[in-house]
Amino acid sequence: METLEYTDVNAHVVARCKEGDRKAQYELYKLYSKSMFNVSMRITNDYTEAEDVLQESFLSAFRELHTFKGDSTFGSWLKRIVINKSITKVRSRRLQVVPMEDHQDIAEEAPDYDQEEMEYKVESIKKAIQSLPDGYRVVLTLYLLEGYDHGEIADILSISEATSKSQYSRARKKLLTLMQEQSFLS
Amino acid sequence: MKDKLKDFVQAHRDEFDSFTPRPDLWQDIAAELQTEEKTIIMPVEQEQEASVFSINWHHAWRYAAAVTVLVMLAFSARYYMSTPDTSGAVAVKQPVTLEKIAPEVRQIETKYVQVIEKKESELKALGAGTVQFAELDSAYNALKKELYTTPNKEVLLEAMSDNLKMRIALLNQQLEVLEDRSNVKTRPDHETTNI
Repeated sequence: METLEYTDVNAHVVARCKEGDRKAQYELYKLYSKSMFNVSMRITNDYTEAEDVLQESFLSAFRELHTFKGDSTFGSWLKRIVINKSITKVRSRRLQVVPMEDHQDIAEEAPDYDQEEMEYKVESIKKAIQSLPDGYRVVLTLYLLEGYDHGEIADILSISEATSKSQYSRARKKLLTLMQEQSFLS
Repeated sequence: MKDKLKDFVQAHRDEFDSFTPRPDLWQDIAAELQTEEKTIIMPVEQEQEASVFSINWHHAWRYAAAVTVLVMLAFSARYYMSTPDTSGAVAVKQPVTLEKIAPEVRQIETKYVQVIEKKESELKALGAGTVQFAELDSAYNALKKELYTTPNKEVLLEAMSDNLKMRIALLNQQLEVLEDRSNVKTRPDHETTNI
């Protein structure tokens, strides 16, 4: 129900964008630039790269708008563009996205901080996310913050669903460890 | 397994979007779009010259406009040479000949213009401003002018009625949006969190 409503509201602006209406393009930019920038920030973990991604994403969205058929919302369509471009940036840094074979035994070694005991704070989660290795951070943010399920993440990253699940579970443990360390330090 | 971390994050989702891009980033994007439009459109027009009409309206109109200007220039030049008459003569004479060339135009116009005017007054009743069709208008006029010279009248007429239909579609969209708005309380800006 809600999705339909939103699609309609955007469809009008999107139609104007298809005609090259700059004002309509700016409307979409205003509406989405901040959230898309944050999506990219979380994946790239780099302000300049996230800005590049944002610029490239909007440009290619407007360029390819005729391929947007409206079967998803414009927002989720744009978000996939942003995510794909962000992942390309991370990969081109030559840091392996996920040390897939390298188990690091984090899952086994890390002390099992019981989540019930832990008091979550937005700031400390954000800080811990930024300290995660690229591969963990990507899977974790896609799942926790961008709301994709493991099937979709598998599709986005070209990995298997099982890998996505295990990477998430490790990333999550690592995150909790980092948060614990932060609280000891502070 | 219940994931408390995920629940917590979802509950505080907005607080995680704390970064803001530099304010002038849009200017860069707009500038880039501007140069792309200039450089990309030209070659496309030339390539698609013959079969463009049903493929890409945007370019078709511009092409039509360009051709029309040239044709009109040539025509008026010839006209002035043969009859060194008063300057308004060309414009006055056009509607008469258009009737002869393509009587269908009048049918098309009466058919759609009524609908368009009806929709526009409905929109006004809902408190919306008038919808501007500047680009569609100029495209339509260009097509209309080209009727004088085209060997392919049918294609032009079809493009003209498509042009009018597109206005109706846009007006309908606008109406839907407005009706939606008055029926449902919209929550702006939350779409991304609902994906």
